[in-house]
Amino acid sequence: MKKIITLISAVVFSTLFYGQNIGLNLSLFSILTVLIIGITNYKRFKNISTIFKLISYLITAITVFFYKSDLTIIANILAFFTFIGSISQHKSSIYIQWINGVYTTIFSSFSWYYDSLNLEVESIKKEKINYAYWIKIIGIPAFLILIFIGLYRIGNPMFDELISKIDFSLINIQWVLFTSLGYYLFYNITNPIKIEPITLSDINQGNNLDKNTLKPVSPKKLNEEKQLAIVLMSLLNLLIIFFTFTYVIHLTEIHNMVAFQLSKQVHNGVNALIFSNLLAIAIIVYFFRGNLNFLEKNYILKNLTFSWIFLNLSVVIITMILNIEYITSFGLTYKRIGVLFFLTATSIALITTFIKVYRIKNLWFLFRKNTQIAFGVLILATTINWDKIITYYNINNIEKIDLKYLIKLSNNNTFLLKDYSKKNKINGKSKTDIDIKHSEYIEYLNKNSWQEMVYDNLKIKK
Amino acid sequence: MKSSNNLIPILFKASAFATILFWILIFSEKFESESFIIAILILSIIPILIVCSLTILFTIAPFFLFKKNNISNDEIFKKYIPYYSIIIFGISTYYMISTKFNNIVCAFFITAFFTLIKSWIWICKTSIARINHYKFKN
Repeated sequence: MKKIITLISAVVFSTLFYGQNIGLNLSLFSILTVLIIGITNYKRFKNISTIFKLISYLITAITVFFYKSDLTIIANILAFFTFIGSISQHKSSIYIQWINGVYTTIFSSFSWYYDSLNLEVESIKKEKINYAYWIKIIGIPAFLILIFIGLYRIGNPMFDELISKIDFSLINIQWVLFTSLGYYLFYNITNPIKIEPITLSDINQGNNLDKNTLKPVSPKKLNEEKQLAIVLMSLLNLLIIFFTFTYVIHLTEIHNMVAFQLSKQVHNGVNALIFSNLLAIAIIVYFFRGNLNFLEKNYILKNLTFSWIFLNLSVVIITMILNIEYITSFGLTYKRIGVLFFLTATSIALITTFIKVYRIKNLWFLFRKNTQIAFGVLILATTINWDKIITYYNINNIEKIDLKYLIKLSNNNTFLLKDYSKKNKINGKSKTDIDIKHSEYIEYLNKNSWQEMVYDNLKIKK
Repeated sequence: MKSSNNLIPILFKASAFATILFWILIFSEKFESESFIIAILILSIIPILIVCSLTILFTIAPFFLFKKNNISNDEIFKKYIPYYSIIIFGISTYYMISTKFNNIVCAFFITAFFTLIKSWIWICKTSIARINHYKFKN
């Protein structure tokens, strides 16, 4: 039964992807994957973690159809591996699920084959396939039949005409190979495997720091380390207060800056800030890696750490304001949205570091939570049609629109730009570029097969 | 390394496997000088044998050459093949994407991936077969 399901899936896979670009096919493939795994591994669907990964995967499948872009395709592939990894072992961390997902997708059938070889050692060996016998049975008659066909074609013109009419183009080796690849893929994902050592050690490794597992350190050494940490944290707190104070004063002067100066200031500031925050997290993680967490009277150090985290967060928020101010003045771009994402990620990392210190968690907690949140943010980010939002915001709010930049964006903003060029007076070059982009996109949409269809295909049919 | 005794036949087996797979994958490509195709096919065995042998000798054989005595080939397989397969898959995917899925490049890397994985199994299967033979003898 499982083999028939896999075979049907392989044929569907070929129908969806053979000689096609990405579009509706990726969305349908995602639904097919969920259905097939649901049928073959339904018992693994019972936990919330897997259901969450399944929903994430389906969200990305929908977004690929509605506004196909590199981001939605990458997110769909990542969500696929996460979902497969979750089917392999739902209790493991998300990054282990990624590894298990890739491993299952590329290697599962080989692993089962290898294990079957091992099983043969334990029991009586299975009867080997007699290849010589099968070559004799199929090969020799086929060879002789071909020779006789050749001879009869020479001797009988009518037979020759009939044979030449047979259309062998139906047998397409590439299609057969592609279907085999589909079979390989579906066989693998319906037989999930996991990398035993890392999965097991990940599951056994909890999120809390265990006092009993730490290496014993002499009280003298521990106190020295605490003193060093207090001195360093105090100095860093003073430094960041001074920095924040001057940064706020500097913010009041940004209205006097020209675009180039502001741009340079924002990008330099963000790079330095992200690096300084990563360094801050590393310092905190270093001091709170072990015994200092359990030391009595460590509240001064903890409070200093919390205030430093809070001050770092304040600087991040100020930079966010600076970036938003920059966007308000000069419009949205991918780079500016990227800066906001980086700053949000830095804030999340600082908050999780705070939780790590406050609740005495280990380093794995930081990795797990941050990767989980990053995955969630990526899935949410795909639900937004960024090109359309950037275009819509810029043409409605910005005085000096950079049309060259907007035209270079993906086709997701084509109709919006066309509409804008119809209703507004714009220079000839940009108008021509928009018209070219529009006509090329319409041509591309019209050429799309049903497998390559996207939501815009439905729009032009209306 | 007992399996090193069997490495040379495995190198030939892997090269034959790679040649067949590579040519099946690019078989439907149109060649201008179709009359030379058989000659090209036969001649291609030489570079495939060289590439195949070097890749196996440099990327797979060291796992068995430098293993500790108390570790069996089966344990090495279970321990390293997951990471090895993921790395090879990553490299192959990178080159296929960077060449925008060029047919020849895709055929080359698909062949490389399957040949290397099969070679791992052949090397470890040899030792399993030996255990099997020993068990049945005793």
